[in-house]
Amino acid sequence: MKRLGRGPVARRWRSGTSGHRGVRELTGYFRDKMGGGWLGYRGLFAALLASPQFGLSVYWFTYTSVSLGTGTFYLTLIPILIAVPLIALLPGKSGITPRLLGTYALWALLPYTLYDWGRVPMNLIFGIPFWDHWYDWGASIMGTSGTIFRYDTLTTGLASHVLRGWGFGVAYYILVRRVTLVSAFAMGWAMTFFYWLVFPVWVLTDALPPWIWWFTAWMSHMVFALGLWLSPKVFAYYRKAY
Amino acid sequence: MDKGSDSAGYKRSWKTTLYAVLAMQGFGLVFGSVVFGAVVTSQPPSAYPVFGYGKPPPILIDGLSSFYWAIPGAVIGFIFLYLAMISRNLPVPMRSKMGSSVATLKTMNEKGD
Repeated sequence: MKRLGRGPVARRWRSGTSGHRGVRELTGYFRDKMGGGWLGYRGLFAALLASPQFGLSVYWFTYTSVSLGTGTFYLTLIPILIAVPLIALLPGKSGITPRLLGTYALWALLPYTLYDWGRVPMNLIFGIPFWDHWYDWGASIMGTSGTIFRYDTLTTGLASHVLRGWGFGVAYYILVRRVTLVSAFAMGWAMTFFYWLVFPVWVLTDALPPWIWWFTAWMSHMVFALGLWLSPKVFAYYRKAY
Repeated sequence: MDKGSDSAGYKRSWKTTLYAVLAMQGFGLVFGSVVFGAVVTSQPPSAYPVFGYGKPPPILIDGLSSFYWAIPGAVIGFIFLYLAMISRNLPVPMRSKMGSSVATLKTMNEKGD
């Protein structure tokens, strides 16, 4: 172990006021199994539970050559089936107990709900729909032929969309040591960047999105971030009430 | 372990939170401006009509590249990042004028957000 001596720098290091403190905290954060721990089991479990996006990504990046049904089976259903028993069997590795996983699963219901409600005014004011892709997803999952604008394709696409938002929410709660507004917005921005990069190139291949599309993508993910931050507070409120 | 109510020892003030969030918005605008400019100048326009009439092309202002929006974004980002950094609450031990005793400054911001 490095000897620090008795000088002023060493005193600051021990008192935690040194600039090195930030570095130590940061590296510790990525290894801390009780929160953070991106490089350990928490990172693995977050990746497995965010897998609904992997299934859709394969569908996008192959320009729909791989159906969303295939992507959802291999890159969503199976990863989640691996994640849930592993989390339950290895609570000592990640600090996540089955009860905690259930809590995260409940918390993750609010962010994507607010995300969708946040997009409603954009449709009413600017005419930007947000459910148009759900028809494509539902038709790809079910192998629908002929017209795809049906309620069964719409609801299947909606289920796929919900699963994706829920997965991102659970992944966030697994990866953060503490739910804060700053980390929630950081997650919202990460999702916005991904959305901005992927959609114009791989998804909206028939047209260039106007600026209002970029604004709507940003706005809705910021609402998602607010949901991430708000959900534990709502949960705590109702748990006290009942 | 309830993350939602785990506020013990959590000393980030609402000012720091606000500044950090605004700094993120500024840097996000930088990223968005660059990506927007890269996409609208590299992707082909609509080759065939969608739903009968086609999607509208992006609105572009002659002489005003979207890349320029990155400049105010960066300014906003760095200003609020600086404000967030200086508003952080860190207890700093400080020697008194007599030189022997150590007085710890009162924590300035004790509320969590």
